[in-house]
Amino acid sequence: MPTYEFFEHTADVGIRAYGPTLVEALSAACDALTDVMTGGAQVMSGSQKSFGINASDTEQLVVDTLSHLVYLFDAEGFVPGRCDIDLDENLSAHVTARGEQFDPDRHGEGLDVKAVAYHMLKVERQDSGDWMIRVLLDV
Amino acid sequence: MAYEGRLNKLDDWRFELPIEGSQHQSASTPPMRVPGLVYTDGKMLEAVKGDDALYQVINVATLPGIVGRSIAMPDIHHGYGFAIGAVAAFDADEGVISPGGVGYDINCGVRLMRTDLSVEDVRPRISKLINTMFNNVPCGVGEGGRLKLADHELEEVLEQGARWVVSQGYGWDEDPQFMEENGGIAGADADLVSPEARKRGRGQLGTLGAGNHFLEIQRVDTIYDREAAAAFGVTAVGQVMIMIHTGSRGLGHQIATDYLGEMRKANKKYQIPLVDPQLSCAPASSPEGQKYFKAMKCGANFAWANRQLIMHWVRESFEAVLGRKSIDMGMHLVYDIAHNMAKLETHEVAGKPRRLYVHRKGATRAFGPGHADIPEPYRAVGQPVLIPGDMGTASFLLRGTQTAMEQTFGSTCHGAGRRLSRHASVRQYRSTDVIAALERDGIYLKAKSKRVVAEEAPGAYKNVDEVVQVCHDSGISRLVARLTPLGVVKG
Repeated sequence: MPTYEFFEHTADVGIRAYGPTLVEALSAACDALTDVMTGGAQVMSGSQKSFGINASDTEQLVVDTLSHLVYLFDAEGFVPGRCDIDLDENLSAHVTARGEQFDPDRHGEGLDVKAVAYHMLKVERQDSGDWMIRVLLDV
Repeated sequence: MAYEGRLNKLDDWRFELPIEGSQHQSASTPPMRVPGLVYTDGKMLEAVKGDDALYQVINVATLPGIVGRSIAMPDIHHGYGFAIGAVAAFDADEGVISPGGVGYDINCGVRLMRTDLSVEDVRPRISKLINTMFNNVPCGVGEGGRLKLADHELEEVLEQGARWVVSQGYGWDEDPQFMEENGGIAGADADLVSPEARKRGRGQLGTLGAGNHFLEIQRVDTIYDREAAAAFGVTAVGQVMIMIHTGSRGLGHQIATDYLGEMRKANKKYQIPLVDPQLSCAPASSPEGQKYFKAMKCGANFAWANRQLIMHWVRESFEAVLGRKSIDMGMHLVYDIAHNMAKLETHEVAGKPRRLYVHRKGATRAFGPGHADIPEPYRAVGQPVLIPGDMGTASFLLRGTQTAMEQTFGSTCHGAGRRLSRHASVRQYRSTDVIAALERDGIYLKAKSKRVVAEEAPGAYKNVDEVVQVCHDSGISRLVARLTPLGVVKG
């Protein structure tokens, strides 16, 4: 079963990401973001970037983590492949993103992601016990 | 969820969402402080009721200090927090300021240049012109700019906008006077722009970006108002014009992201009821509100500088291909407008002048004749209003009116607005078919990405002709000229 899916929104791209834990759902949301930014291209993991997030709630955790990946892509040309996330009980996260430098020939069919929106944002534990993250990307 | 609440018809183009009887999105939505006012026509009304945009007009009407009406333009569609195509004014002392009322692309806007050239001069060279512009103006995802700015230079851009770029030789001395705010709004403070935003911006000055942004060579297709057109330098059908549609790129997006996080905290601090997390706001007069306002101005100035550089390279492209000086081809700037902005303006409300933070999100300032902020050569006819179409569809030149000053805080629409999602558009259109169809219409397209071509297919957008007709008929702006594309550069 795929760990994320896209849903229709007129001017934007919506993501629903799932995982047995919040961390795994967040990691799936990161994969979905990369999918959008690269047009689904394969990403090598030759280099890595690490960063920390201190969030006041789970919604902020999602927005700040994805926003930082957008920043790395846009400012440094870093294409994140896989994200490993350590999260403590105070919602402090340490993210290690493995990826590579942007290559227009392979990654150029993606969308220009401007930002990660709060609108329609939802982070919840479902009845099954799994976590679901719903987030909109402004493109 | 389709809107089923009350919507009172005021006349053929104006519908009111009353304080009593409007349907709210949720039971917890606080009461409206002012009515909503929707500009549309009977034909477009059903589509407007079909998405969530009217609920967003209502949500905005609940915010503290809102004055007059929460206004929706005919191109309104569902956005974040504020709908796209929304105008709302808040009292400078009692009201709020909200990044959700500006959007992520701060000062996304449009610039129109005139020429003395005619279709006959340009058509035989159109592919060469478009290809040269495509090569001279970086565009598309991940494409860096040609300038590498030092930090102090970036600060000049953030605080002075297009004027600094012109002082460095990228343009003519006359250019800034034909831009809203003379291309550099006062009160911008670069110290309030984060290192992340600076880093995103530094490499992207003078880039077009992707998505709905474009660079077009157009021809004048119709002149509706000869006097106003002449004032704007538009003299004949077939005259060649150039339009630039882009914004503040990653720098503006990062400023918006940074301050939305801050506003979320401020919203709690000032105990403002939050109807939508994207509507977080702070009192405009608070430290948080003022910091956002001054940082937002930096984003706006970056966008004016961005469009200025692009225009300079367009002039150079025409010079290279046609072998004449741009000044000899009459390549003057007509005007440059912002359509995602919050501004502190004075408007007459109930017979008295009031200082207001006017938010225009997907809406264009449209000041009427005589206003001191209009460049002197245009003042008698009103501010030029630039409405971009989509790739392959018409764009419009209009003028601001006294009616706009009285009804909409001097504002009008901003464009067509999407009809189909990007996914739906890609399913429905193939890029090769879109390019072939444009070619049949005599339009040469050069695009970085095939996917963007399918996503931006003309059929994915609402009919811009209908949108501007409502603005014209309701009087909030008046048609001056219709422009159709000869060649298009897309990201």
